[in-house]
Amino acid sequence: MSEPTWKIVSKIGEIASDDVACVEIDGVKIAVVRTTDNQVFAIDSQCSHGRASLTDGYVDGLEIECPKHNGRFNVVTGEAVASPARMPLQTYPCRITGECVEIYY
Amino acid sequence: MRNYTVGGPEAENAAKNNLVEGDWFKPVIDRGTLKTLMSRSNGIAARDTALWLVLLVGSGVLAFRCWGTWWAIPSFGLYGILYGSASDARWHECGHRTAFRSRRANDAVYYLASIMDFREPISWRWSHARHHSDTIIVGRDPEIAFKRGAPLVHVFLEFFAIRTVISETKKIVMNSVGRPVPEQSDFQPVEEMRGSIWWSRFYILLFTGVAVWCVTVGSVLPAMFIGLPTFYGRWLMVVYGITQHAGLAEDVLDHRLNTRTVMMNRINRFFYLNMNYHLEHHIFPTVPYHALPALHKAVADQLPAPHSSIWHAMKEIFPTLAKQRSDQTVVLTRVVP
Repeated sequence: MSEPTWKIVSKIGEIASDDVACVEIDGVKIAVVRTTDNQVFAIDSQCSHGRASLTDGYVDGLEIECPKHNGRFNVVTGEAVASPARMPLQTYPCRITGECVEIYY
Repeated sequence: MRNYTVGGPEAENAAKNNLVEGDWFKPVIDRGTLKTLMSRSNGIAARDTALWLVLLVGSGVLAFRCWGTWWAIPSFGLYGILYGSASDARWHECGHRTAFRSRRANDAVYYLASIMDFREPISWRWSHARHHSDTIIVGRDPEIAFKRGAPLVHVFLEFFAIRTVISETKKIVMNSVGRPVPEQSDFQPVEEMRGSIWWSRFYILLFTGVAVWCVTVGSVLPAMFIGLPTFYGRWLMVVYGITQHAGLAEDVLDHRLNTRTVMMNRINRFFYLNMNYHLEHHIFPTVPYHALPALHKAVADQLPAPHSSIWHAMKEIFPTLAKQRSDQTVVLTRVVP
């Protein structure tokens, strides 16, 4: 596996404010959340509880809710904050550079 | 009759047929529209919860004052519906944590409604998650209420919560001493049993306390307010609940084939918190109850036509349940757009 580097994954304009978009790096699907104050966070897209993609879920501040069972994760830490989600998810450093969204992966 | 045991032989068949945690049909909907529909607020649920509690307390006071007269019958009738039927919709919506924006508010109403509904709250949260993963997949879904071939007397008994209370009591007694019932182990993680143990002990304490209170005062009146309404007020919840999935397909990955939407008037939708839009709820469980009518309109062209009334739904359900007694291949089919 190559050393992690900052990778451009999307244009910031492609992710709506207070919403989530799916990006893919090396076959791994990652949910990129953009908050209302224009911060971006990257978290594994696959819910740790059930077979569902968080990119279809609901963003509420710094939490994202699974579209299947309403389990919730903190997008900053990856912590599962509402059942039935129990196991945390992997998060990745994420930043906005100019018009681009980059993930350190 | 098929073996509906969760984790039983039909679970293996479901896995072989790729029905476990399957890819379910999703209608096309603009992401911006869906995002708006998923939005949470505290105001609407606070209003509806306050109204529910005011009616509950009001009817309770009336029933107390009318005790010993004929007026107690309609008073307790209303109190029972609010306690034993309307609580179920509150249990459900707050279990999904979509009713309020506040997690604490959702959880507070969830636990209160669980007591009224006589559901041990922790195990039922996991049971309901499974119901959404594997809706009406035999051997997987613990919430298949109307099983094909089951005697119709079971449906009748359900109007008074008889079978539900018996099975839940068994579970609560077992859980109180740290033992899960067999099916529970299939959907509830062992780490989550601690909560079930303590809630079960609390339930035993609470209902034993009510029984002691009744004996002490020499009257059934305390139980008429706490405990018994689960029986005498349950019937309306069953009327609503039977419209959800009964008679429809099993073992399919398309909610349009196993779930019903039924149009209801405002009073029923208040008691039932819009769960008459049950098909839409199953497809998009992140949409709060108060946005379901708008969601229904947004995706109506991709779903089967809804039933026009409860009666319209019942006219297809009961004959089908009766036919399924002798022929379990009988199923209500749906024309999907």
